Amino acid sequence: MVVLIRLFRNKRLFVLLLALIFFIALMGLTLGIKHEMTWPEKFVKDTVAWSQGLIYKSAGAAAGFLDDVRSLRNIYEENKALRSILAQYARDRAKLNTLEAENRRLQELLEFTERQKQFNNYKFHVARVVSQSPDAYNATINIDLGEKDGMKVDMAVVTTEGLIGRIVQVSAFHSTVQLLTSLSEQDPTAKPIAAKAEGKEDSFGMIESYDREKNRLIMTKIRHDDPIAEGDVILSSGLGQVFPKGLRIGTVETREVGSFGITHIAEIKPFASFSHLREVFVVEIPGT
Amino acid sequence: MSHFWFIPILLLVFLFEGTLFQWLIPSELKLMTGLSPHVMLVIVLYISLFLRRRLGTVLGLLFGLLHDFIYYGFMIGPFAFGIGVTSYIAGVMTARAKLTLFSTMMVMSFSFILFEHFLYGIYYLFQVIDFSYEWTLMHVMIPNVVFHLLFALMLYIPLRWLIDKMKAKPKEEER
Repeated sequence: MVVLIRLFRNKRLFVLLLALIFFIALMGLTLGIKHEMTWPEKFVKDTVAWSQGLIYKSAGAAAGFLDDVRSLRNIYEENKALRSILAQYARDRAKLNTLEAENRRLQELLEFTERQKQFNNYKFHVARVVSQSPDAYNATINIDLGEKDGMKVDMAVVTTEGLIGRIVQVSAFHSTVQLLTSLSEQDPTAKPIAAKAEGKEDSFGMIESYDREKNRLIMTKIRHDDPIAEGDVILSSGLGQVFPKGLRIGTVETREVGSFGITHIAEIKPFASFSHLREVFVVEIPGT
Repeated sequence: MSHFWFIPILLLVFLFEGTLFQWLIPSELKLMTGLSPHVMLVIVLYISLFLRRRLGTVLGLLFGLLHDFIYYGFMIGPFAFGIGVTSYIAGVMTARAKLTLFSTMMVMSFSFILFEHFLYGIYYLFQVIDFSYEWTLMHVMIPNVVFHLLFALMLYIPLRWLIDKMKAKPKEEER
């Protein structure tokens, strides 16, 4: 007991222990639960993110210019290919218009409720990336759209390639997006993505984690008689209510029996790349 | 020169960490390794070693907290705790030692390894990541420590010069 008292008379050790307790409490309390930000918090975040945006944009522009110079040689070839694609696009567009008209007519025939009609009519907000977290474990980016632009927590964020993550925190003019690379099966705060294969409506799986070592998303809870096969394109199914329906995620690389032998797991190669992001889209579902 | 000059310097470095440095690392390297520069840590350690331990700790806590807050993904605290405690321990270790370039680099590399373990340990403790230790050691910790050491070597002369200047001035005023 005397030793203990003498130990606590050591001020340095006492402060160190208090700091340890304080930080464990702070980390535990802020884990996963994100409160509405107060105005000083918003002010700090917006100021820092705004200045980061300036640097990120110019650094990105410099990197882009170097890339442009490097790829000047390929541009002629690319132009030729694009022209043929454009012709194809015009043809497809005509086809799309007739299909869309037909689809609209059929939907009305089916007496869809207002909500269901709205469900796939997403609004895409273009956002510029202002910074990317320099942390190997906690992959987040900040974007230049916030509360004032109608951003809300849990909105899905995509690039032109595919899904990259969801908004986890919103300040007045900026928001923080957690990338899919920090998905983890153990993490109690992570939100898994309900997914299905393109063209296979009865397929189902949950994308629960990201394998950092192989750079693959891991899809679990696939029934043993599920039609998901290698090479399938995986879309979000909208069943989880967090991520909207029909966002492109990746292609199935392998499928095997899971650790308990009851369900299967699949490795999915994501479409999107998670570094050097410039512009992203935030998906808004009208009516929610 | 006042010690407060370190606040704008650290703020500038903090802004560069999330933006310019992210563009300087090739995306292939980022895919393969978890290389993530924390030049802030290097500067805070220099303050702690050569100027004042307490100033280093406080600045470490402050800017760590700013980092946690701006890139709020899992929780608030790991960087504040990591940088703060690392700079404090580095300061205590070298409290009465005469530091040469070599011994500075030794203390620095110990601190970098300690910091990486704090970070991995905290995230692992709260079960938000499931990286294996072996993979993290090879792909995150070692590249980061090497990278930080390079930065520490680069900043040794300018920062020593700056700190010596800060130390020198109050004495002149006393005279």
